Amino acid sequence: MNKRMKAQLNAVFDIPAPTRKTEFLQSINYPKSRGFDFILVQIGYIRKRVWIISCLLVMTVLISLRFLTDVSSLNLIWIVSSVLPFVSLTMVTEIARSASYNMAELEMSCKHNFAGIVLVRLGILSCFNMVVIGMIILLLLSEAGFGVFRLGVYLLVPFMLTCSLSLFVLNRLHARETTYICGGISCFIGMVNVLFFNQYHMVYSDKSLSVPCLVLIILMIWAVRESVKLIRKTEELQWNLL
Amino acid sequence: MRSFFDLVGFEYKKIFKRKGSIITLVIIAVLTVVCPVLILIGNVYIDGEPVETYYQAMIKDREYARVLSGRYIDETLVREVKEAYSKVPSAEGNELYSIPEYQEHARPYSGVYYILNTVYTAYGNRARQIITLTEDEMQSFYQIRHGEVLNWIDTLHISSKSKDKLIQLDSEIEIPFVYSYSDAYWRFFAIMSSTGIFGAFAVAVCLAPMFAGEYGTGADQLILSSKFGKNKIITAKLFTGVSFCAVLYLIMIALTYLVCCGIYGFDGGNAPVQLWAPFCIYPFTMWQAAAVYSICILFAAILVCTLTLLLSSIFKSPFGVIIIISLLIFVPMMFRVPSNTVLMNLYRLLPSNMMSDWAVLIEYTTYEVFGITIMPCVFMPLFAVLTTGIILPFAYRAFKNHQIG
Amino acid sequence: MELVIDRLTKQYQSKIAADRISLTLTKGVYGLLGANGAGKTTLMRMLCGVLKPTGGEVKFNGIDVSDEGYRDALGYLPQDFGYYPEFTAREFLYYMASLKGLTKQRAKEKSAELLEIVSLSNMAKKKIKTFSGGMKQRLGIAQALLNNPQILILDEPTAGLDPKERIRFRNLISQLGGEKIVLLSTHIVSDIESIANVVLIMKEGQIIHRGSIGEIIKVIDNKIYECTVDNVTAKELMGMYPVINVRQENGTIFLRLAADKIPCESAVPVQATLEDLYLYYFSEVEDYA
Repeated sequence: MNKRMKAQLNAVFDIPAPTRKTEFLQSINYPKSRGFDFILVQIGYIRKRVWIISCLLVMTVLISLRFLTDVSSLNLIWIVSSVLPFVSLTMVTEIARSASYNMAELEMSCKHNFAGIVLVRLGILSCFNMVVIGMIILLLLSEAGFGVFRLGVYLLVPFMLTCSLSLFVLNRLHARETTYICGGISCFIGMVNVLFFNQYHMVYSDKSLSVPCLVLIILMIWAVRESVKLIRKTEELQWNLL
Repeated sequence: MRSFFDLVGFEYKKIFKRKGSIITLVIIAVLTVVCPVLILIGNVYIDGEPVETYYQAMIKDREYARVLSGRYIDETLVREVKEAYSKVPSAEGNELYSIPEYQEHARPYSGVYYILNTVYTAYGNRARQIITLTEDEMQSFYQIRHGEVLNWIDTLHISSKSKDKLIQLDSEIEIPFVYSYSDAYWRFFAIMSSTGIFGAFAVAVCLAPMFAGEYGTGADQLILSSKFGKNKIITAKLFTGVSFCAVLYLIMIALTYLVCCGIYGFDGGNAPVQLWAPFCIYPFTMWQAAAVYSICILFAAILVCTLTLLLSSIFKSPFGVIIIISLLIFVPMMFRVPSNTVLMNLYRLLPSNMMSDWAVLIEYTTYEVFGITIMPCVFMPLFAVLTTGIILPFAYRAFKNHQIG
Repeated sequence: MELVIDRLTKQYQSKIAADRISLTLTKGVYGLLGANGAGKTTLMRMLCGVLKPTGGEVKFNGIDVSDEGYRDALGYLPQDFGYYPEFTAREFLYYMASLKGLTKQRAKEKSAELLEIVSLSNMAKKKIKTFSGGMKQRLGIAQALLNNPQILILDEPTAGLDPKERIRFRNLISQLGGEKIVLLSTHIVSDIESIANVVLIMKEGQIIHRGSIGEIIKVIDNKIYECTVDNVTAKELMGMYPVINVRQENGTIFLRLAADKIPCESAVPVQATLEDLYLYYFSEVEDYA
């Protein structure tokens, strides 16, 4: 139908007013978002400071390796391993965000519910942190004088200790105080790591690698168990009478 | 006055009602007791076989050291040490343990050997090994020591007045040194810096909610609108914070001292501190040095407490306060600043460095204020008191002028 | 469209918060009335799937409450909810829309529409932490409607709203009740009087009465009295019967009270209201019978 005819028809006939427009519109099933869209959206809702802190850490390692040539590699590894608990802290505070801001009940009642949100956040942040730690290991590898495995153990022990303890606290304590306590845990572990290195250099030797390895395995198992517990807890409100 | 102490009582109650505070204090108490003991756990291994436990080694070395206690460190003793070590074939570290000659001849002198070796081989002078000492060198232990002290003072970028002060201090040290077994004090000096750091962390955790906790719970509205809300209660909070910190540290220091002496023995209190740090220029005995060091740690802790209270009055949540104070405490420990510079003098005034033995007792430096030369062990507490006096009013005002909403 | 609640129970050790509640809800507005601690919020949380029942089940058109499809048809406004303070109103709605499975385009359209409905369009770009209590509540109502839910559960929805906002809200709910199952709990009796088709009275974890306002008020027909008495008699009567209204009047005291039989000679029976019923159920009037 050409334009001229359309215009003429419009002029001749009155268009009737729509009836039951609202009912009709409400009866339409709008397309829903896909699961993958949900994951992508959740990436956007993770706070910027998480990405910034991790990127800052990688940048600092890069700059130190390039410019601070009088800092020994062992010292650099020790410094990085003391800072990694704070990277873990940013991850834990993101996971605990819903509880901290009292949004858990609302999020639980949605289609993509709270368990889904926590799982997705945990997944995204874990992958991201593994990439960051991987990059740091690669950067330090040339300077370290020992292998990937040993370097990974030294870096991951304080990180996993913070993760495990923080998840332990999240699973057992309620709402507001948890992020404050997790912050305390991260600071304490960072501090102990600094003091430990000063006092007990021999821990960073070949002969005593078995102990940190064993500790790391235990911590990883503990972290996985606490994560599973956390996901299970998100299936329902824990404190109904509040 | 009674109402003031009632308010203080309530503030203490609030601190001890928090689970986080209780858990932190328990952990710190355990660490304070356990740290002096940790080094005694484990075995000395030779060729993969345990020879003796560290505790057994400590007992044996203590017996040997007590035999030598009361003797002057003079030419006679130096000669005895030289002869003893000359009988030992060359070896280092744990390998020495496996050599029978070491166990029989040299080990009884190991306590004195450390002091002599430090002085004779100062600053990498490998020519003056104990076993190669000449007669002249054996007779001039104190002259060699004094000479090295003067060399080092000469390299410092300080005024001649300050240099004279340092030299004068060194000249007041009583010589010859009387040797005494003093491992308890060794451990005390080694442990207290770590204990001080842990204590600072505990102070941050316990005191961070002092003001920030009120903002978080919404109690600030009730407090600030009450009769004492803008005066007495704020003073009570500040008083509670400082007194809590002081009491905590006094307990920690006393506990560390008692545990160290309980394990290693109460010997050596009147021995010169140079038995621990041969180039220390202070004419202190061990217990005097321990007391001075403890005072510096206490005031450093009060400085941390003050900063915590200030940040707590400004921040809306204790979380940020704890993070910042923790970073303030342990980030400086990761870096080294060039010594002999103004930056180093300032760096030493950071709380974690004020708690370290090297800054308080070992390093050669002075602070000059209005022409007066002040030693670090005096300047640091004064600095802490002054800074506290400046910062506390800001914390007071910050809470008093806090706006709701 | 049918929400079937079958013997729903929630027990905490020795306390039964909800006791074998069975209901079938269809389109309309249901008002849930009960004292503090009656179990209203517990019931609502179980209907939203945020609390696991000890026994019983909840199904909407055959879909169990634990199913994603159930939550897809659900809109919930909790009694006490937080927010992410750095979010603006619009960002908060976009976030909730993403959780409800809306596409970005749909989220944008629906958020704009709902902000208009709850009169927050001019605050769309402002951060939630700057909102008053009533504005936060309106934002909460808006998020509950994002996914065009077929079941709408509102726990104390008018708390913090001023009279004008409350009336707007009532009108909105009345409209929605025509096409959805709306369950709202409140202490504000006038809200229920104005909009509820069916009133559910809840006490100690059980639904003790169900019906239209007219039907349930029949329970207290001829049990509400008004009288004007002297101080001494007033004090005596107040000690014996639940008092709905007390007013000083020229040296005497006007009383409106609930009683099974005439409390004094000068008392006259009056038309009961829903508020009278609430007091009748939730005070121990049987102790004074």
